[in-house]
Amino acid sequence: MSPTTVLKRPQASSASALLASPKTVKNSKPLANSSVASLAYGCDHIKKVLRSPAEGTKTKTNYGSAARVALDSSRTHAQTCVKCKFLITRTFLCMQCPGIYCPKDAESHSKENKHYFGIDSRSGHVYCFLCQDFIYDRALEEVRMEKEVAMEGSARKRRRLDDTKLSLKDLEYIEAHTTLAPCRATGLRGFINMGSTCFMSVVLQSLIHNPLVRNFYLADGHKPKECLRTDCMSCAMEEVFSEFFGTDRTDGFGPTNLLTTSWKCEQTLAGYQQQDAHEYLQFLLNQLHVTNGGNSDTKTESCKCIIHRAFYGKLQSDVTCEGCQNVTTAVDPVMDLSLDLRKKDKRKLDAPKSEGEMQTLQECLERFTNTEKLGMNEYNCGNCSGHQEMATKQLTVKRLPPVLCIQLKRFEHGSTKSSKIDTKIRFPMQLDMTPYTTRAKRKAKDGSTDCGPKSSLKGHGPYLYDLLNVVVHTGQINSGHYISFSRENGQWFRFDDSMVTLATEKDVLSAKAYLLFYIVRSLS
Amino acid sequence: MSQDTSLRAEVNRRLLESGELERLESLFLDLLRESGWYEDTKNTCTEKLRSGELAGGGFNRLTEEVELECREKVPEGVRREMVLAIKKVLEGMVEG
Repeated sequence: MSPTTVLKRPQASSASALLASPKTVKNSKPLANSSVASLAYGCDHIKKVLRSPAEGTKTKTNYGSAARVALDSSRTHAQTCVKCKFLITRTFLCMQCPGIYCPKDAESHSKENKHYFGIDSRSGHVYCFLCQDFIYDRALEEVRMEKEVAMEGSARKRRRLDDTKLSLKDLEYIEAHTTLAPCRATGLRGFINMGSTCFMSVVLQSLIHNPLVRNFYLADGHKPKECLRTDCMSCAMEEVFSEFFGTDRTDGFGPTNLLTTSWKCEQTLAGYQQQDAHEYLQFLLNQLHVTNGGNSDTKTESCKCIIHRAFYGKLQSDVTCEGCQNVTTAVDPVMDLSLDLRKKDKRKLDAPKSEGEMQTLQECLERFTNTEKLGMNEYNCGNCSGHQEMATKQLTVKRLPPVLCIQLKRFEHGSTKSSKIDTKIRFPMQLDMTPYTTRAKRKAKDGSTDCGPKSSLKGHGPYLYDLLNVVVHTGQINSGHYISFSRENGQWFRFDDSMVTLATEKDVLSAKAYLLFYIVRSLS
Repeated sequence: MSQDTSLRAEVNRRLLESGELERLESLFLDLLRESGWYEDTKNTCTEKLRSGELAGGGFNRLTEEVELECREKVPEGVRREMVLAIKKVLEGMVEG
């Protein structure tokens, strides 16, 4: 039984290479003759075979066909051993006859029939039964590489096994003659604007640079090959992650697949007009939830999908009847917080802050979690049945998600017109959510003094968040443009369609944010 | 005896054709990785190869040395989960 269970072809190469350590093992064997020629062969036994022109050609051909079978990912996963008839995944294809054997019987076959070479059915690697080891013969490797490319195309970069060991001289040469190319395969790529699609690109960039979502996709969280869904947003996302983190390209990426899949999944998104980034975010999160095993029953907390694991939080709403003090509590799931920028007093129509002082995010949060009076006919108390009683309502954050998304409600849609509130709202690099939690608010009500906004400079605490992404809307409501900022490895970057540039903390903090993403300190 | 073998063969065939075998193996690999067993095993093997204990032996020699130890190191939780998963699949195959 192999210590590693091999499922993916490319992985298999490096796994068995690491285990068998081909070059080091072979080179440490005392060589009969120290000629360079013997290093060109996998082992002495295969050398004997390949040296003879007739046998060599036949062997290579046989190997080629066996390798094709092994590397064909559409073939059946397991085979039946011709001897013991067991159906197993790990089998050897005989190089010299059409037999397929389980490891044990392959061993006896090699002894009985003197067929000393077997091909691992999962990786296509050659095993020499005399050496009792995998061998990596140059000529055969070439055949294998060729088959690999033929089977799966040249889409992925392949590492050749003989590339894995470099001499000291090689390494020195490489270092002396290399210019560093940062920002390659680090997810730092822009999206080409396909016609007012900046609302999409900013949302995508925020997810691409979200450690939880990124890690999920890079760790094969969603496997397109196993996905049976048509028009799957996760498959489209997976493609983006592969492109951004798996290739060296830095040019803008045209998200055609994402675009068309989005249209197919949501009719209202079709067409090339500008959409609201927050709406797109909600759509995308829902799609990614659905396509990653999320339950359709969102009321139950049991959804373990990556989206819920990252964004799921709870809001508690407490309605208190002024008459009998009866409190009705309801808890609702939320995937983001939408904050009003105007004071809740509907009589005041002026700008958010009349004194000219900049409003802060914390103030918006405070307002969000403040007790508000409900209007005359908005509440009927079931307890004291006083219809005219006044009631108060308070929203508090019952459960905080690892990634907190906040929307600043800048867009107002009235019956006759829509407008945008373009004032700057100050937001912090580090946000302490403690004061807005249900627990803290309850403590405040009980008269505890220990509930004011805490200084986030203390550096620890379960409700401390660090800024992760910022989505900015510039311009008018209907003719505006979206850009975003994201942090990667401690460095901030500005994403403007296909243009990705370095940004300073100052750049980020001075932006007129529309959407803010914070990640809990422990994951930051 | 023969019935047992043919039943086994049938079950195996179904496992393969339904794709369940591949799914179970995939699950197993995921569990082994998640629990750190995979990385642990990889390190153990690398160490053994580097130490020279194997006297230049290859794949087979390495397997002989580490197999037992690594098998035992598979976490209880992983074993349990796999048994449960396999059980579930097999139960799905049986009527009544």
